[in-house]
Amino acid sequence: MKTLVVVSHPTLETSQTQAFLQASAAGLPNVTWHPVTSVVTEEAALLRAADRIVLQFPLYWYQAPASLKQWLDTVWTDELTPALAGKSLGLVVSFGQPEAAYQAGGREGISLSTLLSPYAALARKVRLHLLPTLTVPQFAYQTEGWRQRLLVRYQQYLQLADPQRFAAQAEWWQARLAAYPEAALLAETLAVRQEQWQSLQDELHEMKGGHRDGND
Amino acid sequence: MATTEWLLEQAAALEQAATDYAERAMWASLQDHIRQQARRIEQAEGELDGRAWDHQQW
Repeated sequence: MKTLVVVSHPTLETSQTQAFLQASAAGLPNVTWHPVTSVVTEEAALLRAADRIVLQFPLYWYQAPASLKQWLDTVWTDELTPALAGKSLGLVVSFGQPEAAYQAGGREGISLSTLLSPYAALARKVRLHLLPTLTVPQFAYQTEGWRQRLLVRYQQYLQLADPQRFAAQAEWWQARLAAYPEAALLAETLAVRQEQWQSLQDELHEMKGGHRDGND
Repeated sequence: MATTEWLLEQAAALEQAATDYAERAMWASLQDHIRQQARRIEQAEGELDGRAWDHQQW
């Protein structure tokens, strides 16, 4: 799967969050890091070549920065969009408030899903498969442990067809661990346990008369 | 549970030994994955047990 990360940020050079995400994506095969530009022909070719398009930006007054809107208005023409059908669309959104602020009754009083609804409409129109948003709240205040987890969650978001599916995450780990001979026994044990979980799921599935819970 | 502990120890040792930031992050995150896998196995076993003892299905 080829992933194109389209980054829109008014001060990209000084953003800690974006620098961290860029370093996290560095070295991943088939991932292209691409700050928005206005050279339309090049942009269209990049979009056509990707299987997944990730729009990555900080919230500015509850929206993407102007550069992303400008880019969408210029690049996503009626000529281009039919070629995008069937690809997936991801959103990586950073903001300066706690995640809980963005909900009914929260400090901001409105959910991120509501704020990001234009992208859902866009995905529907262009027939892109929309992924759940990867949120990056208050990066500057997060612990080292949290950032370490973000690094891996971000990599999985860029690389997995369905990043939330546990079985897919397990496969991702197996591929990752294959590069570390010192972790061979660990990887093998994890794989055996994964099979054990899968067969328990199958048994439950049968017990329920073929009805899946969708928790795989 | 002994297997889970062993897996966690292995991943923690690899995390300690890693010198690169991204690798340290990877081994730290792997420990979350190991815990999640263990929890899912435990939950699935629990659900199977519960269903086996469901008197409505006797």
